[in-house]
Amino acid sequence: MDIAEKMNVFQDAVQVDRRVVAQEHMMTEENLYIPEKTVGAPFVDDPKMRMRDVNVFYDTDQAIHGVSLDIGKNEVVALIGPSGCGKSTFLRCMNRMNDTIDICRVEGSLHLENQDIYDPKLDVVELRARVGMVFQKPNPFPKSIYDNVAYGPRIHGLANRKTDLDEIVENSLRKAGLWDEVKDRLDSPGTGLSGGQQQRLCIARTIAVSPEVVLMDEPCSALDPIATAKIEELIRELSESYTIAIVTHSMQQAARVSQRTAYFHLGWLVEMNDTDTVFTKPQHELTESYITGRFG
Amino acid sequence: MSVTTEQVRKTLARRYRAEKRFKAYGICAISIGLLALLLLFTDIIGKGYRAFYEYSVALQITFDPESLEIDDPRDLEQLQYGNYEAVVREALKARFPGVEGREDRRALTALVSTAAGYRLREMLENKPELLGQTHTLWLQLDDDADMFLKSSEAKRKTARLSDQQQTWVLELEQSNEVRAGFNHSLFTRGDSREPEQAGILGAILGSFFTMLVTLALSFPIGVAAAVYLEEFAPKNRFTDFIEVNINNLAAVPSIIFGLLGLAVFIGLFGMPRSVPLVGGLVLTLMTLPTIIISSRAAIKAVPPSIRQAAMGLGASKMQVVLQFVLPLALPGMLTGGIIGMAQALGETAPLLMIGMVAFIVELPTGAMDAATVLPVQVFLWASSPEQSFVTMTSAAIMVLMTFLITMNTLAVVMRKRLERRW
Repeated sequence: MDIAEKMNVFQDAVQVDRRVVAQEHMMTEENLYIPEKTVGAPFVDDPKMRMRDVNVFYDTDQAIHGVSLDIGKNEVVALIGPSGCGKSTFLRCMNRMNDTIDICRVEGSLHLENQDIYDPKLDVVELRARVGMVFQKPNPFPKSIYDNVAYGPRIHGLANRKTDLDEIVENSLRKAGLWDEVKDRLDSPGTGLSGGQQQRLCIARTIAVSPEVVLMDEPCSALDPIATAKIEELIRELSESYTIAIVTHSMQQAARVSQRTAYFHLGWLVEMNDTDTVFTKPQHELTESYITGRFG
Repeated sequence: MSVTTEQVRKTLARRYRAEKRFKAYGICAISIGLLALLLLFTDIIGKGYRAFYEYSVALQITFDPESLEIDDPRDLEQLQYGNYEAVVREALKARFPGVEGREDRRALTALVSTAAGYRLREMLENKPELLGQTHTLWLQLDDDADMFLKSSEAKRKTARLSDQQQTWVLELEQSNEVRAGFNHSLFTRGDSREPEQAGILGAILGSFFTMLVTLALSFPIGVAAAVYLEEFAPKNRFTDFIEVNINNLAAVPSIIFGLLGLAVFIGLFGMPRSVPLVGGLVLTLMTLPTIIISSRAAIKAVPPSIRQAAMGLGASKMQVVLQFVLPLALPGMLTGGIIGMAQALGETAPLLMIGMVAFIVELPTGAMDAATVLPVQVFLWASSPEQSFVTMTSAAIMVLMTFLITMNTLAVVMRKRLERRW
């Protein structure tokens, strides 16, 4: 046996070890293991966002293990997986929302086009103007509907005149499909709207600063089916002008709104492919188990 | 009926009994509290209400130039040294012609307050043409006579008036020559050794200037410290150490702060004693922990979703704090601030240490004038022997309580007003 062969054996042993660890967490008795390399097609040509070997640690616990994937221009990417699989953590890395957590540490390379997201010289304010975020729970500011939408453009100085600002507000609300419902009460508080309207207001607020990418962290989990349907419709429309990454617990939702789907498991990216492929012909057993509802 | 339902039924009765018992304990506790409060208030109000009115006597006062030893009422020096007591003495002599002898005359004159002289001088100063004229004037009675009239029949026997004086006062009372009126001097004067001339305005002003200094310093410093500790400070050993010490400071007895103020502000910095400025500084040190702790709690209570939303839109840390955290935490901060102020308003011990317990007659006009404060005034009067000061003490307590209750109500109203819902 030469050195190279010995090395291979050693590496195999290490991999097997890792799989055993993963198996201990497994929810089924079946012999499922996490693949060494993400199966499917995680990469695209000319991506909007490019993530390579991303590791995230909370203190000493590793939440994300070497995830590499691309998000293409004007595409909707769904991140799915069981609770605690790291999909939200990963999403929050993309606009550095994890910065606010003291014990959180991010490794690897994350790029928005040619801009290194974790470049110490990059101002996080500028990044977040380019990568907006919609949260799980609708969280309008305790301000009027108008001020909610106008807040982003105001702090970034996007509108110098009142008429410009009015236009931005109207356009954003129109794009979010909320204009007709609120145009007569722009001065009433945003918190007085229904849950679904509030979430659409939050989306309007996010797109008011004209971001390039919109990150959505389970935007419909607190909403009823009708409100959910409206938001999904909205996501489809928005994908014409924005790149969207959406974390969701609902596989149907992922199937309905996304072009590509990434399946996360225990912090590893197991499989990523076209949404149709993932849901009809999953290549990995873990993915199949999850989408057929065997766990998660 | 299943076995389980049977089991549940059995425990149900026991659970209801336990619940009732628990409720009864609560009602008991509240009743005890209310009873204590009721006792306190009845006692204070029962004693204190008498201080809000005073008796005066109608006397035929002749502004006799000879007795007054004044020939030109426009001459301030003459006015100052005028013998006003003589005029009052003459009037009393005219009212009770049968009184002879030095002792009796003196006892008779003692019925009218020495403040009557000041009143006559003031009148003469304002209206010089009064000289030589005779008018019926209502003059303040001395505190002992005043107390005698205010007392019930049973208590009159123990009054400090001699039997002779009592008959005179009773005679005046029967002929309606005495009347009760609102005690103006209580709210328009500073302290005095004579109860009927003593007022709490000096103490109120002292309290006001002290509170002004305390508010101007402790609220901004407290809020700034709380914001820094909550929002900007790194979480490390040092900030933990600061946090522990702030909590410890909140538990330090207030008199220690007084000693600190005496040593630092008066001893080291050479500030004057007895002034509201030093009092305010000491009370600032004392209320800071309260304000910091309540402000931090208010900041912690701001929902994290709002911060995230603002940060997600690209707001800087500063913008998040100024535009969202502070407005949302403000009601809580104000409540903490007002409760801290109320605590400072009622504080006595540290102020004794820095000399705000001095006997000060002059009304303070600023934070650098010697003054006393309401609770210290209560302390001073409570240790005075005159019977009238007992009622004055209760009256001062009533005024202090009114301020405290107003402040606390203000805190509640403000919180309700400013609170935003979502």
